[in-house]
Amino acid sequence: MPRALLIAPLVFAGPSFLKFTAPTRLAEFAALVGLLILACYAVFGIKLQVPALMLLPFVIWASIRFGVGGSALSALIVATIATLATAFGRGPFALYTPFVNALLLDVFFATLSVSGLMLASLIAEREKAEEDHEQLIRRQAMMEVRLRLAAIVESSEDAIVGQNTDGIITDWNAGAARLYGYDESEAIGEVFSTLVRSGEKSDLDFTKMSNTVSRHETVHYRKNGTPIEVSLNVSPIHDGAGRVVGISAIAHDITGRQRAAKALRESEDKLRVILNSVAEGIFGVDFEGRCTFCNKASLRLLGYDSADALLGKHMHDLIHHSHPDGTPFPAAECNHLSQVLKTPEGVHFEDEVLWRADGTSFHAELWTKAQTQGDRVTGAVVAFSDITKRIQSEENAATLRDELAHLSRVGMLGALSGALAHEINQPLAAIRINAEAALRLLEAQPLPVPDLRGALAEIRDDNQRAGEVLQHMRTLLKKDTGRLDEVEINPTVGEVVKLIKGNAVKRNIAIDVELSPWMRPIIGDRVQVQQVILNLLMNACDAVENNERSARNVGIKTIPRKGSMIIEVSDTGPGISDEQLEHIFEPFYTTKREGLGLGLSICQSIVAAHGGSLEAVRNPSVGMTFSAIFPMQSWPQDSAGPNHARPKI
Amino acid sequence: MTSTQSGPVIYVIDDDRSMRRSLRRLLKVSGWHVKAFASAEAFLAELETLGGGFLLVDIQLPGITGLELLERLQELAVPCRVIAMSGSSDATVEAQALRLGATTFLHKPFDPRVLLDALEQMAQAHEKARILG
Repeated sequence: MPRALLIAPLVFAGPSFLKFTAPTRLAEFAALVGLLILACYAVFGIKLQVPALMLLPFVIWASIRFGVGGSALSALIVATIATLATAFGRGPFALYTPFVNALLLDVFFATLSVSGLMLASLIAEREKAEEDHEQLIRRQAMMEVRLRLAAIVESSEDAIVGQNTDGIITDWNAGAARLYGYDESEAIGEVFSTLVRSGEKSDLDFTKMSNTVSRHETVHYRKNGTPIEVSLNVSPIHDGAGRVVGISAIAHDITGRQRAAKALRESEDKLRVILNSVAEGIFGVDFEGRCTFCNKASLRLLGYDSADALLGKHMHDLIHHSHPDGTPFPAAECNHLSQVLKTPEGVHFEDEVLWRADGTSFHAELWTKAQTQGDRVTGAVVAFSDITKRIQSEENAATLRDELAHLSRVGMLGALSGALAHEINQPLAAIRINAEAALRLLEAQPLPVPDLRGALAEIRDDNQRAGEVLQHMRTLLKKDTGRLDEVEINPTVGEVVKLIKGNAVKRNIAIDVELSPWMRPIIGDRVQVQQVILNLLMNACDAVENNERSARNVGIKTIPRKGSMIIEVSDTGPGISDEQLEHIFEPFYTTKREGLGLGLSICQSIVAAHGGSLEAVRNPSVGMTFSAIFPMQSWPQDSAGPNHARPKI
Repeated sequence: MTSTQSGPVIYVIDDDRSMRRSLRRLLKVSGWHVKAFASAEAFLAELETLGGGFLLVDIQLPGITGLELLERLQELAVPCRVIAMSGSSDATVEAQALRLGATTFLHKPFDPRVLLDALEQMAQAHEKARILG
């Protein structure tokens, strides 16, 4: 029976007891067997009187370290050696009669194997219990993970749908219920692709799927029939053995995103159409001045065939590389871009010279606006138009106005010619008379020297007088008028009054001149200022011509005001109506029977060109008062003094 | 008008100072007596006190014009020989002046000798009329 105890565990343990997971275990096992055989030799081989129970610790060692199999094997080794030793009459069990020896041997075996096996099985039991416990903990943890995953799935905004291999819905989360409108009980058991009327059946055909996740966008339908654009993630579900046992589908509603994208596309299209349909050139630059976009007009105006010629290039180097006179204009010296980038409200360049692809240039007006992203300036948009024609027509118009002003002056002098002839004839007559008188005085004896001196002095003065009148006339008749100069108002008024006085006297018109001693010179064109005074005075004289003789009064006053000098011409004529007053400065508007109606409009443009204004008011009592208000100006910054370009009228 | 002096006085009416001064100088050196006025008003004011003489009047005068003065003299029936002057050439003015009794019309700047000749002729006619009278 003890022998059965020795063999049976070995049979049960089978080959598994030889399974060593690590080389150290094998070494330990070999050491154990070696030491055990040595101990057996000590007990049974030599006569050292070593008690047989000394072998028990080795069996216990085997039991603890190698379980039932180890325990049984060690017991078997001891039993075999003990049996053989006893049979050969050696060892502690060969001392007595064969029967006693056999009995002792059996008791020894029983002790060895029972204690070994007991110990081994106790240890095995404990290990198993520990293993069970660990497994339980693992299972719990796994369960928790699953629960958490389930909660995640359930709380997901996206629809998460589980299907079996036939496409039948097995799982349906709250997101799916929200997205598709079917609740869980309606959905489970249905075929997913049919339920959502997926256009592509293959979407959900697991057989065509590889292991990888498939992602695409498609259209599904809700329970109420409305279409939804979804981004669909489909992936196979594997079992532990790697077989596909189902499909999971995650659907994300992208209807809004699609709509926004579509709206963006549409607005981009619209913007492109607008950009390409405007006449102005429009282009964008980044903060370093490189072209980011350009419209068709900008290509046309700048003479390029395709946008590629501009995109990414430094616009300064392409279109702003030279000064108007053709000298190079390095980008480093051009502060336009930095000016634009730091001026959020935009910068307007009235007249810039831009260069075309073929090397020609044109005048352009530019409007710019900085582009920002948040607080950061990322670049600027530039709109420009070719103003060459406008500048030309402005120049033409200015020339025309100059010619018209000249014609107007010639016309006025023509009207005054009678009176002016009188102004010149008067001193000429006096000169001739004095000359004749002098000749006769030379005949007298003794020579009347004081009288002769008086005659000659008067001849000299009258000659000067006639010359001055001619000089004034010539100035007014000159086509190219003077240039910017300091114009003293009072002497200018005096000269004009002199010119018109003869005419006024002839018409019995009294001109009352009131000059303020506090007048300061203005910067302007003397002839143009004279023209304004002459015109206003002639109008005033015309206005009073039909009055009673005693009521033909014209007044001219100079008045200094803060910042401006005023020349005021008033008359006691009939005045004009409100309606006429509205149009009085318009060209070709006239209240006279003769005249083109250009005088006042020319006067107004002259005064305006001096930065001033011409105003007309009805006097409280009778007649009109015209005020030419010339601002006190300083010399233009880039001009050192007189003879700068004259004002364009 | 009665002459209190040896020869007739020439009354110069011109608003231009240079004209008055030069005429006075020339007429004096030519042996005439001269009295000059700056306006018709000034002349009319002294009319009562003036003796006989010839009138040398500018047509373009401020206030009462030369032509109006001639009209006024006709109305007052003052017998007077008149030479009219004008700085501007206006045919109607000349015709009017001659109609109003001016014997000569001079366009400034006239030849002073023409004036002196005209005065001489007027003086002779005056003398003849006085002798005949």
